[in-house]
Amino acid sequence: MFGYVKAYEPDLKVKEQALYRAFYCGLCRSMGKCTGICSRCTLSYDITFLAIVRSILTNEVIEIKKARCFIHPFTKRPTVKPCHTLKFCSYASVLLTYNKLCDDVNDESGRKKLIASLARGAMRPAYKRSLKHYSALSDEISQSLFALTSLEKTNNGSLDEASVLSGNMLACIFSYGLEGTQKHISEAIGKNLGKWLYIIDAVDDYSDDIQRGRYNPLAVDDANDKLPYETLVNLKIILLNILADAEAAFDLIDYPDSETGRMLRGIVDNVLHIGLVKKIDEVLGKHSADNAIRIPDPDA
Amino acid sequence: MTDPYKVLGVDPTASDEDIKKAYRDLARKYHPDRYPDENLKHTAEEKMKEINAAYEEIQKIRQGKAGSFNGTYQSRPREPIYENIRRLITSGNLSAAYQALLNIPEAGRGAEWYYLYGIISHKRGNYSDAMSCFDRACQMDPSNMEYRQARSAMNRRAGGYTGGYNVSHEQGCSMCDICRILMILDCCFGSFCR
Repeated sequence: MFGYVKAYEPDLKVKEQALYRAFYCGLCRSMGKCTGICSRCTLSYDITFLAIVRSILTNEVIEIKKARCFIHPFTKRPTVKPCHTLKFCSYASVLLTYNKLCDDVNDESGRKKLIASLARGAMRPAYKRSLKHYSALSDEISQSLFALTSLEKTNNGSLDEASVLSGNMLACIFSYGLEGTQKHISEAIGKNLGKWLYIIDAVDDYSDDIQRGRYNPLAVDDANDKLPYETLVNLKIILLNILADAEAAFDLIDYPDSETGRMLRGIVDNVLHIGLVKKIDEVLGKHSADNAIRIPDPDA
Repeated sequence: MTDPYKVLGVDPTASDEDIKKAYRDLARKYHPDRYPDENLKHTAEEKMKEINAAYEEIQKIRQGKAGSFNGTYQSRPREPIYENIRRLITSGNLSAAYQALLNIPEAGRGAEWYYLYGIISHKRGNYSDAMSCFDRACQMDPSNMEYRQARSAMNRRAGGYTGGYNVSHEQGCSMCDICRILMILDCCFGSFCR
């Protein structure tokens, strides 16, 4: 679920890349303060993107200060100062990870179950801190996850049904506490990113799942652990159609009319149009001998 | 006749939105009001005529290939029950249309059934179901252009999103040796140097 929503940094402007990394560092620092040291292992660029989108939608005042950290003790790095958005994302990240680990403990077996159990134990203090502030959000996340795993257990759900449930979960997180237009936009963004993440995760886990006899929504009856080329083409088309829907929601955002607003827009455009697209090619490409999935030209 | 896409300065695979934007930008650029000089105004008007003609030409081409659902697309006579469902879809009443489809027993579900189910799925953002249904409809009735166009519209939308088909990661700048070494040096020693 994590590690997919990332900017393609070579195509960011230098100042945009600095801001992007400042958000990452700011999130890490915020996690340390709000949810404790252990929660930092849930740090990801995916949650960083959540922080950026919510900052834009809530007109968060973003201040940068240079700070040292444990991993980079020698030079100070630009870091976004703690703010409401970063605090929310710190708690949200812990809730998401903790609930996911609970799922793994209930549904997995053997080594994976043991690792999940240990990780969950380590996360418990952070989880309790998050519950104090956002217990309603935790309930919504665990309900969505429960609905999703129940559907998966029936072995009968379609890919769309399952991905919609994942979308609902992310929609809750993106839109939590927002109202009116901001709520509608963030819900649409969350729904589409959630659908996109579910499908890409399924493709990424496909080989492993088939080899270990685990459930995968893309599995067909044969035991081949690689997806056929035609399926990959269809999945690429589906994933890009979902991104087109997300793009429509992003186009409705009123970016702040400032230098920071322009940089944030640059980062979002990069993630949407380059980062996520490259991720599709990267994940789907693992199944294909020549690594390139080509959509046939419909006018040909 | 010159290539209308070239006149507007767009790729033939550009989305409808991009075409509209390109047209608007050009219309603004060549607006006769920008040219007080009579001769330049005349040239600008000629240019506008060309741009308008190109835009209309592209509209005509795309209408012909339109993947958007047109409830009155008459390729052949249809059963009244499906005509009714098409009307429900066009009027936005997807749940009623969906229910009406489900009420048709499995034995009676032909290509048109799958096509309409696909249309409803597509409108709801259920692209996996939409794709399978369009494929099924095309399989059951290979000569039906409407079904083919619905399916190929999904390809077009996917291709339009990336700004041109098949922008794979090989076509960009893949991390060459120089960049890779510079990145590693930056990671190891960058904190000392900055």
